[in-house]
Amino acid sequence: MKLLCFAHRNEAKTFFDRLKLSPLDTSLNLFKSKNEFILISGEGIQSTTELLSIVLSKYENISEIINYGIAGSLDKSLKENSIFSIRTVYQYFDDFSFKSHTSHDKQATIDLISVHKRIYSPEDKLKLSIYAHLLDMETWALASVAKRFKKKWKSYKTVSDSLDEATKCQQIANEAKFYSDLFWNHFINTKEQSPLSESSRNLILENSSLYFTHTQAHQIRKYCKSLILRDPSFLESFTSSKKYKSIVESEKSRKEKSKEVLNLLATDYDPITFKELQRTQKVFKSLKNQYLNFDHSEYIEKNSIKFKGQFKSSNDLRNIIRTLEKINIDELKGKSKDV
Amino acid sequence: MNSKANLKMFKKVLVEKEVLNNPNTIHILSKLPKAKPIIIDDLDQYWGKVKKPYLQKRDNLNLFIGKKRGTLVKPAPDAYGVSGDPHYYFIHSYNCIYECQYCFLQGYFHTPDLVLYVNHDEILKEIKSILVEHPNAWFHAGEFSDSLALNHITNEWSQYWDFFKNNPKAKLELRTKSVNIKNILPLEPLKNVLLTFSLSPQDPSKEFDLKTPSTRAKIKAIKQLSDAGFQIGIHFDPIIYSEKLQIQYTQLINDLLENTNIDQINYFSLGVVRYTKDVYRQVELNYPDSKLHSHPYIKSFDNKIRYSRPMRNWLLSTVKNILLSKDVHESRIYLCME
Repeated sequence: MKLLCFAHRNEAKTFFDRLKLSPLDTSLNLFKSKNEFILISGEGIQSTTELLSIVLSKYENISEIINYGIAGSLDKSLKENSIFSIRTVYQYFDDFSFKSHTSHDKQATIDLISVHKRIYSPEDKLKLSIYAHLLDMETWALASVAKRFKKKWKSYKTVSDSLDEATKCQQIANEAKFYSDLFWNHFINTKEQSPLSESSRNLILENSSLYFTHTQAHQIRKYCKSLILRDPSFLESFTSSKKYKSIVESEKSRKEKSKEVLNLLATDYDPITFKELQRTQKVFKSLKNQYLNFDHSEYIEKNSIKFKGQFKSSNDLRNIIRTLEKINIDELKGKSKDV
Repeated sequence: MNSKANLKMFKKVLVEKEVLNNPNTIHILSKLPKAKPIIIDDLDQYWGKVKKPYLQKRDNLNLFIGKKRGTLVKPAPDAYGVSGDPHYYFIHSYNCIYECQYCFLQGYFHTPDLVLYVNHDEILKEIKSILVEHPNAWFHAGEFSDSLALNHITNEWSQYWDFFKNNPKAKLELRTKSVNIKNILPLEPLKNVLLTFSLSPQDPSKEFDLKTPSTRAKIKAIKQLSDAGFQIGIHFDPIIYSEKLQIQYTQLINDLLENTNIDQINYFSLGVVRYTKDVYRQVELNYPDSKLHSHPYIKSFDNKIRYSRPMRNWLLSTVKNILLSKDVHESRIYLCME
């Protein structure tokens, strides 16, 4: 469910008129309609932090926070009566705070700075304009709490005053109904535009003649993700390839076939490393005996061989030495040999 | 690039009070006639003070002009350049106008905003003091920025030319991906000053090196410099895996050698794409659909994120062998950061 968040009730007036809202918790200024929660967070960083934290703790079904509000303009080019989606929000409290937060609206291009007290002077606004186009007193807190609760957030602002004007609080309060209509129209027009969920279908994993363990399925997804980046139609061409079909249609067990499919994908994923891994694995396997066990996992990157040995007699020891002497380091290095 | 484009490039121009009357500042501002500079007391009070997302450089890039403080010339990391003589780098600028998807700057600083330092006289003083002990040292510009991309605005290199002419054993490397050589061409070609270009084949470059000039344009600039007698260096770095790597690099090297006097190419450095953990995280965040992620990386010997060792060696040996097949002497090829 979405949580709509406003600093002042006047800004949400049209929402109260149009949605069938019932009070959910009056101490929190929290209301609920059929599909949305509405929170009146009050003005300022502290009030927003407190109320939003409590609401998100109590109502875990909130998945996204949408903020509407009025902001001061730090950029003359921004038109009044337009709605701007916020990209990154900064904070200024006696000095710039390092932390910033970026909204989930990938199309947003306007940045905002939240301050702890009202800013009247054009000089102060000029300083803040180095980082942001707009200025308010809540959004940083909202974004900060949203991040802590791992919730998506978006913020939409309209401009109330320009850089050169002293902020006219009373005038803004008088025009709240106008702004509220503006927000409502924006909300209604954007409400249905929810992004389609990404397809998680995977033609290989869905094939009933194969069976992948959890780890193998994870590998398949990883390989496919990369290979689709290289070629968006990879899955279709892979599953219609002769090699894939001959594995899938063979008489082997599902487990065996799945391993072969995995190897086939690994070859496409990183042919050079896969070939080297197979080659070195084969060498180490041929050397393995009752006295020695090789760990080849780090060999490819570090070019060093780890092994565990066990001997009880001088005969055992001689066997170990004989096995180790069989290792041809230069041959083993292959493509791991430095240029 | 005209001043209109410059003005578009920078949202705001901020100048440190201390360097307001520095001739280099005056020169830069004269190239940005429409900018209304904001005077600030101290660059550090603003630059990097907030975490500004890297991709805001696309539409919200500020330019800071200031004085570099602290150590101005620093020793370069191991395997940074041609082996033998000591290597140093100096900082004349932070950040870059280009947007290479693999660039380490996106995870290095907390802001994409550009800084141009104007106290070149002090940088040269520090270089001079290093030369007392290491007269053959190399000095590299472009570690944290592109050394020529904004040269039409800054024109700082003429100040270094006289110094390196008088210190012929010392070497200066100006590393770039730009073709901004208009202010370089009138200078006297010096044996110990190298203009070095990071080159990639056209297709991967178009995909990964956003906003940089085309490979063809770079080769044209290299030809102009080479014809004028300037010393050149080539960085095939970063090499990024492609199934067509062999064909792409053969074409690139053919094009380069056809257009350049090979004797003026002092070296070819080869390096494979690599990231620190933080930088890689940023690359994933900023370019989630980039083909950079389509090949597997591992945490390598120095904790950097790289391709596996066999893959790196295959990439390096493929490009090296192409160079050797074109009669480039092995002594002119070195591996960077491997």
